[in-house]
Amino acid sequence: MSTERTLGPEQARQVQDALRQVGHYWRRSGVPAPERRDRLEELRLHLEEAAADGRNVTDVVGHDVPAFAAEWIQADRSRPWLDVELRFVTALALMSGALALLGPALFDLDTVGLSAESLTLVGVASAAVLLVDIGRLYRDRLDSRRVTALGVVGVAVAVGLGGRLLSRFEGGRAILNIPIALAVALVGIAVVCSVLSWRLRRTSRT
Amino acid sequence: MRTVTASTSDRGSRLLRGILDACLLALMSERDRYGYEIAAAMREAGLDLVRDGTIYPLLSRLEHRGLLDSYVAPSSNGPKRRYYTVTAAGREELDTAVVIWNDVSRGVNAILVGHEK
Repeated sequence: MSTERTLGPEQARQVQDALRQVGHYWRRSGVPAPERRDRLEELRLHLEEAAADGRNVTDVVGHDVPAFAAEWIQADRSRPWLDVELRFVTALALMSGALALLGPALFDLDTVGLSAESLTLVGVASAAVLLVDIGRLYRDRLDSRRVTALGVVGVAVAVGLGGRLLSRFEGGRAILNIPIALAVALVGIAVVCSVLSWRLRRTSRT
Repeated sequence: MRTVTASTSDRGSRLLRGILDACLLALMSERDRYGYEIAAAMREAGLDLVRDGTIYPLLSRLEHRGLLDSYVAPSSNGPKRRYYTVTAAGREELDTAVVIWNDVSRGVNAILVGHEK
């Protein structure tokens, strides 16, 4: 018999709220779906049994539910920062390669390459990916790796802003010509890094 | 008798954090257990210094290191649960941890016992 039936409406609501927060964090963190389902089920049973014994949700997950979710999922990922680096390189390579290849179609360029506008997109997109990943790791402390990563974010943002500024003067001209082979290679690098990043996030539960 | 305050329980949490993995291995060496059973066993032993969820990152780490295995099976009260079991490597690690704990606690007790009030 499910212990959920012995919970009051407020207890059930608190359990569901905690599970929703944890699931949301894990989904945004790229935790594979089978692993999310497995761990959420384990947590659900624990929360329900605790509630049936008169214990609060905070007695299990604490007051900062996302921090609990982060701590659990990072526990069996041996190189979380390598994953962050791979995701950054994926974003950078994919945006650069794809926008270079699509330059003639999207930005009316004469050749395959990056215009000022596409440079803006590359800078902003890769900065955004890195910033989100930094926010997920080490939520409560600013260590040297995080500071370095924030510096890289700053550079990427500067590239983006520089592209935006240049677009006022360069119009639809490609400011960085990229050979088609290199653009395709960049997309290939993005795919490889994406696969490596996904493999790093796998565990025995995936 | 001195009352345990929040600051002294912080010390207790820090101390427990250093030996918690050995405690979990010891519990699983007795029999396979699932998460809530593990937390309840810790409380019954008087180790009520951590929130229940603290055990899950540690269980994941121990499983990642090959010191624990896990499997899903029906529980005594119905729903299928994930049970944790200690491996041979986990038993070796536990034996080592017990030796170290006995050495350290013997030395600490020798120093602190005279200060008990």
